[in-house]
Amino acid sequence: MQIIRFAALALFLILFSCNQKLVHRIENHYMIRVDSTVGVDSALMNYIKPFRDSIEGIMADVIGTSPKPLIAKKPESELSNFVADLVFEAGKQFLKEQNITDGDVFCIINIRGLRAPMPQGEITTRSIFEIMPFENQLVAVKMNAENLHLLFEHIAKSDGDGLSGASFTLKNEEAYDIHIGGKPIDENKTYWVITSDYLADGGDSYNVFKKSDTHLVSDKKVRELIIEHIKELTSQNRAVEPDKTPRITTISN
Amino acid sequence: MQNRRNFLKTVITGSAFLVLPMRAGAFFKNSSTRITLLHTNDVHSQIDPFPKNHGRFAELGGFAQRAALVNKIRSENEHVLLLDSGDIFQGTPYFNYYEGSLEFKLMSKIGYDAATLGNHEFDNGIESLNRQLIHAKFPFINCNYDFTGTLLEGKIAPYKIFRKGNVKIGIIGLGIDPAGLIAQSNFTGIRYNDPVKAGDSTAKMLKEKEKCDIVIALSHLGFKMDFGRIDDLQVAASTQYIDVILGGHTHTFMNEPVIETNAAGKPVIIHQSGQSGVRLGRIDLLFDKEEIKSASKQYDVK
Repeated sequence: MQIIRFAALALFLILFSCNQKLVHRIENHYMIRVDSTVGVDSALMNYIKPFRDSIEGIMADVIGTSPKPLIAKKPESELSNFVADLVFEAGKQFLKEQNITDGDVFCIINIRGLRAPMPQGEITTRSIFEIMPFENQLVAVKMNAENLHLLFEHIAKSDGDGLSGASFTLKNEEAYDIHIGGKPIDENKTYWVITSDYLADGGDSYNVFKKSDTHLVSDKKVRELIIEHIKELTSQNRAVEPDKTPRITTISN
Repeated sequence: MQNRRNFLKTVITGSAFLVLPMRAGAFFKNSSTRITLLHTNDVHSQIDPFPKNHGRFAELGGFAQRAALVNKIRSENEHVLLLDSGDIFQGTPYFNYYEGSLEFKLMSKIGYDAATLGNHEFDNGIESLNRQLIHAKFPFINCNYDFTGTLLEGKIAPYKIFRKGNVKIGIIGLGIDPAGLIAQSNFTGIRYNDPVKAGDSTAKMLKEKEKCDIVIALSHLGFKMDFGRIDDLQVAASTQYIDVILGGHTHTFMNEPVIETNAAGKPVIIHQSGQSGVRLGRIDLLFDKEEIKSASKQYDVK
């Protein structure tokens, strides 16, 4: 009996020593800067090169010309009008493809989302990536008149944004004289607002879009639309020329 | 009786003989195992270093540069794990044109051991992510997304176990709530489960059933989040079986790990390495045998 007990104890201790729990502690920690001092893995560098060359080639592709630099600034500007107009056209086309014919349509894009000016002279694909680095997609949001008023309230509060197909007068951060397609808001009508998924999801505090339960998301990215539009202009021997019609008339007190 | 007493004496000396060398063993330096954790998050397709004129990260980052650094650390350390906490995709034209395939190929070449999925991995939808996965020679780990019935079913591991020396390491992955972050059409059919519950139950299984010495969570939840989103701090505080959280999503540059106390009163290491591969996080963990004295108390030989 004792022999069995001893054997059991010995066996247990041997087994236990093999399965003994490990405890851990931090010996060192570092946050290593990956700068030129770390060197380069030349095999990986060579592997990347053809991909980089190919991307550089695409980015350097000249897609059009602009006779002057266009900047984006609030409350409205040539670049924001240019982009809003082409997104508006694409949005109308998108709704048509969805067989949607009801309701008036207009477009709003956020000026702060346009991150660089359109350069004077040659426009490359890279220029458009710099203007629009985000993967924003075109969205059509269905809205009633009540929410439309809230939308313009927000646009006015945020000192304007890129409008197309609509106009209003901005005074003391309030929107007056709102027109959609040249007509005042009809309280009984529904409207379609063409915008980006960023704003439609409440970005830049456009929370009013979340009040709508109908968001149609297209597979078109805003950047792709800009590139396609400029290429189309070039194929017609036309340079980039923003429409000069004012959309937001600012009255200072 | 006489014999019995003598025998008891033998038992006592015998067990003392067995116990003593093991207790002494804990003091031998060479009994420690060092595991080196290397960590990136939110690399966002930053294949090349940032350009010279970049405001924040001029000439920092780059995959070939990170590879050189990792190779050097591997040559100096026996047990290295290279891990990524997601948002590998999106941020440079490389992603727009190669849909993430180049990122996965390069990470495979550098020898990543595992990664978890960030929200941006879904930017081109499930179908595209599925197509890129064949380029990843390392596992993707997530235990709180249910992929049943989708193209990704069976392709994302809920956990992985790595053996390094005498250390058994369990790795889990925690994914962020897709609501408001991922376009619904890009997440169709995937169910999001509570990362605290799913994470802790997977970690418990790894500790108790698989006998892992440590559980590391690759998290894309964010270090500290607003609007009631579950973050790494909450996961650390409300779980019992996760030891280390290597985080992402919030692009948090941590100069040193944050230590949080978990629901069992034990410390949890939280670390995050900023973004874009401009930093490489490194934590060296030392593993030692727990002293036998405290452990042997649990067993009374009768």
